[in-house]
Amino acid sequence: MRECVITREQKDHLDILHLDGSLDAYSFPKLESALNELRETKRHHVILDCASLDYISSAALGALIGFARRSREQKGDLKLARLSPKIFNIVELLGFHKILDIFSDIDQAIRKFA
Amino acid sequence: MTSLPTTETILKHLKLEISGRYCELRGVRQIISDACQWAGLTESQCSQLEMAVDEACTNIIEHSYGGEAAADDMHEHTIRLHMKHYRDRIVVEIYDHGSGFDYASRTPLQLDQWLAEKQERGLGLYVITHFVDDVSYERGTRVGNYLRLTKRL
Repeated sequence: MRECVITREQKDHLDILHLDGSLDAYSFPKLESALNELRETKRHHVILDCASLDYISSAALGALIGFARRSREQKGDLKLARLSPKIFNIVELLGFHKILDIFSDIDQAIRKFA
Repeated sequence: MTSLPTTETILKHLKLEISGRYCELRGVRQIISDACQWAGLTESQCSQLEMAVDEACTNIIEHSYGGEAAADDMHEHTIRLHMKHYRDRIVVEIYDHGSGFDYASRTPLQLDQWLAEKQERGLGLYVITHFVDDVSYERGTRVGNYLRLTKRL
């Protein structure tokens, strides 16, 4: 389990956030700040690359759901890609897979934005 | 003659004390996860209990202790955890000395309503009650606020 590092990649109108490590209460301000920056710059088409994410807290999930909702109001979305079986299991057990769009790879998520 | 373990025999008892700081959570999760694996829980059960304990400790720091910034050199906030492995269940007992919660008067979160109200916070207890089989809480006992999470095997 590592401290979370968030790297932002821009592809035309899309933003891909690569998450590496654990998203818990300690690293939550980093996620909040990354999402706020996207919101303030009106970037509403976002993919979260979760391949290297090893933990996600309820607060982080709540923030992602809120961001997705606001992005959808602006005709955008926040999509999750490459979740580990562990994280997918958590998201599914909590019922959030019905709220958040989840893809097995990034290209699939990009195509959904096209 | 050696007596067989009953359902009340503790097979393993892990004790842990941390300061009420968010940077401690990663270590707690790792210890809980390792202990769950040792106890033979499935990968899914391990991550559920790991998350329930993380959410419980986060709630204690945020609400019972009023945030980690509220601690100072004179008033270090501590959280004590006891993880007990019984033959048929894992029990995690968590103690703190903060203001505690009014657990009895809480309204269980309904996800549909939470979404309809466009909320983003307040999922901690939803996670805890979803991922363990029993939650009990006593505020202000002789040894502090006492939260017990039980996950059946």
